[in-house]
Amino acid sequence: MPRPSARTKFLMVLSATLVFVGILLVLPALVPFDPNDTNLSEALRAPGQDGFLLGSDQLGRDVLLRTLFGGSESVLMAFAVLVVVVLLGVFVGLLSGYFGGKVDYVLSKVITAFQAFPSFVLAIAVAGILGQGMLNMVVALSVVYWTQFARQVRSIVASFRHSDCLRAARMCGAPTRSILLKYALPEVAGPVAVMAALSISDIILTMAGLSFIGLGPERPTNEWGTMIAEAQPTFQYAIWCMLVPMFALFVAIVLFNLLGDALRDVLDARNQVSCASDAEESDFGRFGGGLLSRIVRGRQTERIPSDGRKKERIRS
Amino acid sequence: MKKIASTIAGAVLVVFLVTCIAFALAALSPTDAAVQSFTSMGIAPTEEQLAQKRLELGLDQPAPLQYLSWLAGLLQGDLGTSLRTGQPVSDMLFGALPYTLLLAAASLAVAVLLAVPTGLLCAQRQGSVFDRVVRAVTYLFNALPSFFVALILLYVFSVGLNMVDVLSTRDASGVFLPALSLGLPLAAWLSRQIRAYALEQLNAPYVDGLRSRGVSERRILWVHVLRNIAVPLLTLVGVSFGMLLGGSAIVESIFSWPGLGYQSVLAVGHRDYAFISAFALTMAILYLVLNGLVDCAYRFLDPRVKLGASVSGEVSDHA
Repeated sequence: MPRPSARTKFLMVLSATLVFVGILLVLPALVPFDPNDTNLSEALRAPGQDGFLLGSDQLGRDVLLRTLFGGSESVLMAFAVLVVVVLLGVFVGLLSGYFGGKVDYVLSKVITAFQAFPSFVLAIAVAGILGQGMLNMVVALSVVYWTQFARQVRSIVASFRHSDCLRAARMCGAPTRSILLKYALPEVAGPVAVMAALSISDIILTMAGLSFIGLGPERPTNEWGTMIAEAQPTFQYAIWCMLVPMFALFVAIVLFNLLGDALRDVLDARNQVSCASDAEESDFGRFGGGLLSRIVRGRQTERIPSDGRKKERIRS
Repeated sequence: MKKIASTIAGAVLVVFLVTCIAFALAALSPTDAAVQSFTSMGIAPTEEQLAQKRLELGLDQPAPLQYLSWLAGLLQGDLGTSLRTGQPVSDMLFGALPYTLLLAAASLAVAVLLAVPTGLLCAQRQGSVFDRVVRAVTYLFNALPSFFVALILLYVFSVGLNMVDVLSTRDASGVFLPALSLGLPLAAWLSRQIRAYALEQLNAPYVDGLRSRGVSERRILWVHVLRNIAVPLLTLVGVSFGMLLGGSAIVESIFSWPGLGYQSVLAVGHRDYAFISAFALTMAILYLVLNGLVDCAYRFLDPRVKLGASVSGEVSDHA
C-alpha cells in the first residue's frame, strides 16, 4: 500500500473531523438563538414549516438548533473522559510495565478486575449510583475506559524494558524518572493516540446510551441521547425529532471511527517498539510535534530494532 | 500442576477485587441505604427510624466489617434486598436471567447466521464489487448502535407495518425484534472479522494444494476454510456473548423485554443501588466464568495455545 495515500487519507479525515467538531464547538457562541426556548404554539412542526429547518419538537424547540448545541456538550464530555482515561491509564501502565514484579502483578489483577465488568453494565452502575450530571457521567465513563489504555501502555513499556535503549540509558546513569518521561513515554504516544481516536466514538456512543436511559446531564439538556429519549413519545407522527439527533450521532461515530482507522494506518510503521536512532532524529521524543510533523512531511523512519541495526526509509 | 494452581490463585484474587469494586459501587451513593430504603417506598423517615434502620443494616460498623458481612451473605447466596421492590435481589436476578440468556442466544444466532456466509463470500471475492459494497455496509452497521436499530425496527413494525402484536409478547416469539436489533450490528462486526480470518486461510499453502488436487472452490471455502477458522471464531463468539450480556440493557427496555438489562434500567431509575451493585457483581462473575470456559475450550481445540492467554489478554506481553 503506497504510503502517501494513507497519509492523505488521514489528513482528509482529520480535516473533516476538525470541521465537524469545530462547528459543534463554535456554534453555541455564534448563534444568538437559545435552543431551549420553548414555544408550545409552535410545537411539532414538520421540517420546513414555519422557518424550522428540521422541524420542532413537542415543546416548540428547533430540532436542528438543539442538535447542534447538544453536539458541543457531547464532544466536550468525550474529550474530558479521554483526558482522564489517558492520564490514568498511562500512569498505571507505566508503573506496571516498568517496575514489573509484585507491582505489576497486583496492578494487572486490578485492571483485570475492572475489565471483568461488561462496559455498559459498569457505566450504568456507576452513573446510576452517582446520579445525573455531567461530572458523574465523566466519572462513570472514565472508570470503564481507563483499563484498555493501562493494558496497552503496560505491554509496550514491558517490552521496552528489555530493549537496548533502556540499557544504554541506565548505563549513562539516567535516573528512573527521566527514563520514564523521556524514553518510555514517547514510545507509548503513538499507540495511545490511535486507541484514543478509536475510543472516542465508543465513548460518545456510551454517553448517548446513558442519556437515553435517563442518566447523564440534568434536563434541560440538548445531549443527543436525551433528545432521542424525549422524542420517543411522539415518534409515530413526528419522526424527525428522533431522526435528526440519531443522524448526528451516527455521523459523529462514523467520522471518529474513520479517524481512528486512518491514524492507525498512518502510524503502522511505528508499531515496533525500539529505541530511536541518534541525535540526527530531531523530532524524536516530542509527542504531537514529532508525530504530526513526521506524518505531514511524509517521512517514515523505521526505528532501531533491539539488535542494533538501523534502517531508514524515506518515502515521499 | 503448579501453573494451574497459580492460575487459580490469580483468578481468586481477581474475583476478590471484583467483589471489592462491587461493594465500593454501593458505597459511592450520595445517600445511604437507610435513607434510600425509606424514600424509595415513599416514606419520609424520622431520625429514630433512620437510626434504627442503620443499626439493622449494620451501617454503623466500619467499612471493612460491612464488606465482610456482605461477602458472607454473598457466599450463602444472599445478594441483598432490592430497595425498589423489597424483594430479594437474587430472586429478581434469577427471574430475569433466562430472558436475557434467551435474547443473547437468539442475537448470537442471528449474527452468526448472517456473518459467516457474508464473511466467507467476501473473502472469496476479495476486491470485487460485492466485497466492497458489503464492506461499506458492514462498516456503517458496525457504527450503528443497537438501540438505533431497535428504535427503527420499533417504528417500522408499529407504525409502518402496524404489527403491534409482535411487540407486546413476553414469550419466546417476542424475542424476534430485540434479537434482530442486537444481532445486526454484531453481524456486521463479526463478518468483518470472519472475512479477515478467511483471507488469511485462503492465502495459506494448503489451499493451493487442495486446488491442485481438484477440490472445488465451493468445498474449499465451506468445508476446509470454515473448519480452520472455527477456533478463532469460537473466541469471537465467546467475546460476543459477553458483549451481548452487557449491552442488552437499552434494547431490553425499548421492547420491555423483562431481562437483566430491563431490571437494571428500572433499578437505576429508582436509585436501587443494592440491586445495581449485586447486578454488576453477577455480570462480572458471569463474564469471568465465560472467559475461563472459552479459554479452556480454545486450549482444548488448539493445543498450541498456552493456558492463560485469555480473551482479556491478561498474561500476554504483546498488545
